[in-house]
Amino acid sequence: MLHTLFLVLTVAVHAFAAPKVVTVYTYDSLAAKHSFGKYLADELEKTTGLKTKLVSFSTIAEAMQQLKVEGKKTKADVLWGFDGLLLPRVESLDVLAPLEAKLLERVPASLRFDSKSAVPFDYGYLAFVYDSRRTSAVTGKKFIDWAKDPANKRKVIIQDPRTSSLGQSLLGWVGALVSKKGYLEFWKGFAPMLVTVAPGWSSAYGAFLKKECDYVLSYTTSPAYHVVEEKIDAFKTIEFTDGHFRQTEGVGIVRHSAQPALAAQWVEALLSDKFQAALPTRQWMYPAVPVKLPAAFEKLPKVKETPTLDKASLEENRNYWTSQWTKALLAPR
Amino acid sequence: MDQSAPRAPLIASLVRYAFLAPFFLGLLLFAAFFLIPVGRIVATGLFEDTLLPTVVEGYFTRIILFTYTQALLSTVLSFFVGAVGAYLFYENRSRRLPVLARAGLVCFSMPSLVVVLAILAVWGRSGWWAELTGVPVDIYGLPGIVLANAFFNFPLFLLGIGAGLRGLDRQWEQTSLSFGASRIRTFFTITLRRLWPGLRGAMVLAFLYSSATSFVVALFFGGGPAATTLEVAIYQAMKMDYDPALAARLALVSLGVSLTLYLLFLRKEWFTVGEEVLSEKSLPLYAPRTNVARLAWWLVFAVLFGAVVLLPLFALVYEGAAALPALEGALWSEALHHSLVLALMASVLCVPTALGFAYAERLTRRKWLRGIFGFLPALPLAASTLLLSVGLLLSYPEWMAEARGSLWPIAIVQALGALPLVHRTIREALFRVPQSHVRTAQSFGAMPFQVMTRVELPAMSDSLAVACLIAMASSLGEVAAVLLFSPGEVSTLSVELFRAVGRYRFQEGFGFALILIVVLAGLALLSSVRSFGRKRVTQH
Repeated sequence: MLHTLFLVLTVAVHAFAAPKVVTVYTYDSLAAKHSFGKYLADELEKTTGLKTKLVSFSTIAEAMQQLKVEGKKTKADVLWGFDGLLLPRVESLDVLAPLEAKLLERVPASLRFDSKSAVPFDYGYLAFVYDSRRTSAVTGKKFIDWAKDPANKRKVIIQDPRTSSLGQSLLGWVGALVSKKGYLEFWKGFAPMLVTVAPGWSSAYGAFLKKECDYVLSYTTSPAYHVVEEKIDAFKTIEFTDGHFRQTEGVGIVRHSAQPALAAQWVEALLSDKFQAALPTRQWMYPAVPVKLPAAFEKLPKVKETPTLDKASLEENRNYWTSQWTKALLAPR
Repeated sequence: MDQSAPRAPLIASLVRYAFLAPFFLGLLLFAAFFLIPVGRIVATGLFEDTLLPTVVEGYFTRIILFTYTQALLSTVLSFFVGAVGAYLFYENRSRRLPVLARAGLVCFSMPSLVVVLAILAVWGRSGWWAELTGVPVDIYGLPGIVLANAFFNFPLFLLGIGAGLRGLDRQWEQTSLSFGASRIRTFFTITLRRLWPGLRGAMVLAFLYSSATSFVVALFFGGGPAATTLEVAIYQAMKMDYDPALAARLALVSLGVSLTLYLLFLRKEWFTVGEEVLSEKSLPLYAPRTNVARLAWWLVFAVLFGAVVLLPLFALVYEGAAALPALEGALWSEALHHSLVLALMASVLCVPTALGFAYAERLTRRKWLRGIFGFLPALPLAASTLLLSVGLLLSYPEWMAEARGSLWPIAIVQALGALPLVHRTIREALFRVPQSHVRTAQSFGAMPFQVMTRVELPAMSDSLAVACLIAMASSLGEVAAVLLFSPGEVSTLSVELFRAVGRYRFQEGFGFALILIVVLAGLALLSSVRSFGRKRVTQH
């Protein structure tokens, strides 16, 4: 009896004394020093006492894989940083729990995922960035026309969809504009314009800054970085009349989380005005919740959006797009 | 019948060699962190259902062909840079070759992303060459891939051929010449034959490193599907298509080729480093005879070495120097601290493990067991960190989550990566210790522990310094293992470099690269200090 009482007391004392920690699986650049994730974790602990353990993976796909193999034994509470194109894959792994309506409704309906278990926290539009000091402005063009304009021969660097999520989003961008039949033709037309296909954003953007190309695939928000951090207003993006593809990053609560209420509290904080307002100049993306944007973001062009791709279309076409892209780029240019 | 009688010598031997126990702990780590995960990959690749996706006709054949064609061409260019350097430094009796070879490890350990950007700074469309001459070079395609791989791998040839040349006793060649054979004939019939083990070792290593290391170089300069290597296909299968079985099956191809090459060419001899001292027996025979010829050779070396190594390295230093003042002190000092701690840990794990394997091979009487102890530590050559991460995730999924944030798993994986080179360096040195010295010590009653500490280790000290340098250099430039286990808290110089460029701060990235260069060069010099001292004594 005494033993049981001691045990209960120990557990109770431990429960009261233990700090509240939310374990978040994410990708490296959301968890590194100076990242938005680190800022969020520090501020959250300071203001609410809620601790965040950021467990980073080199890619979010790795985090998803880890959640799958851990199953019910996982210590993760939140999965943070998958993009819309990955959502069907996240759902097929069945690692996320349904979210409360109040969390889903924090973001405008136009941004929401076609899912009850994931909510966006930021987004950005894919765009081709150029340096206006050495490349003249392109206006009034459709992406599909610009992409086959011989004037752009060997002037563009894009990312490889087999190693980069931005590269995968580009496949989605083209998929949103071009029919399935015309997909291969589009890439055959675009291939001669490419200087190279970089393995990731860093090498592509680095090469662009070294003047290896006139245009690089990045985001409409990229010029804001140069304005805010370097006071350079020369970097611009082409505004296509047929629209820009939106890449949306999401967050969800892990199905087997031992503390779903605490995880929900964390997601709620992420979607709060305070942290959403801090996101643009730390993550260089738009916040999912409408808040006042920094001046450099307000000055960015308001681009037209391409039609959103539904889940079924993503699942159906993902492999097809990659194989057509591969075929087109394997052909002699 | 006394059943225990035959056991007495065994127990006595165990007691005598108990001091080797810490070394053998390394062998256990090797089994847990390498053999089991790789075994799991083999099992998954062989027995789980998966299909090679049919992208285009012969896609995977094309990948395999490209992987090994670019590796072959890269090996050829690395050979020319390293061979010409080794020849000139040796035949002109320069004592700087070992220092240059060790300093070459700076290149060997540089993260591929900054090397790509440095090559662009020199040879890119708007690079220094294009600006200076107005004639742009098209670096994309095989030229860029081969150049970048040669930047990484030339030190292997500098070490391999250089050490071979310095260790040669030239009496055979002198006899051949005195019998009237020409220098060319003597070179091909005698010298080349004796240099072959070192040369072969360097070639196979350069080939394997060019084919199985980071795909950033091949993909960036190659530009898309036409430049797909097996590593890209494994990455895609594992991280984009979430098909571990396909990743494992592709990994099997890579493992198969690497192991075949090892068994065919590397099983016995490799190059040696460290102990060479110029003596009268190793007189140069092929030195250019006229000043014009000497100048021409130096010119060839300057052009090759300058284009492939020096200019990109200078670009790294130049860009990095501009960024240094802007680097956040707390961040780079913490990154430097973590990098050095990890490098030391990797070295502490790797060197005793390698020593353990070398002693196990030497102490074992059975030939097949000796073969296994010589072969096992070379296995990590066949498995990149990416491949190992696949194996670890398949074998220990729960532990992988628990281990995140700890430095030890990172150090273990890094130590495994360095093991093949470190083991060979130590093994060659141990087997070169004159047995007469060992027997003399034993005849004076020295125990095995005393033989090791008083005779063998001192005789191997220079090679041990090189082995430590290789382990540390390999850890300092490594990124994948840190990202695999670190929860964002562990920052090393290489990882901060990647993080900086990932958030637009490219100049900062070069700053971290410069610190890395300084640290690696410092370690290379430090490891050479002892040999400088020893050579001075020899000269007296």
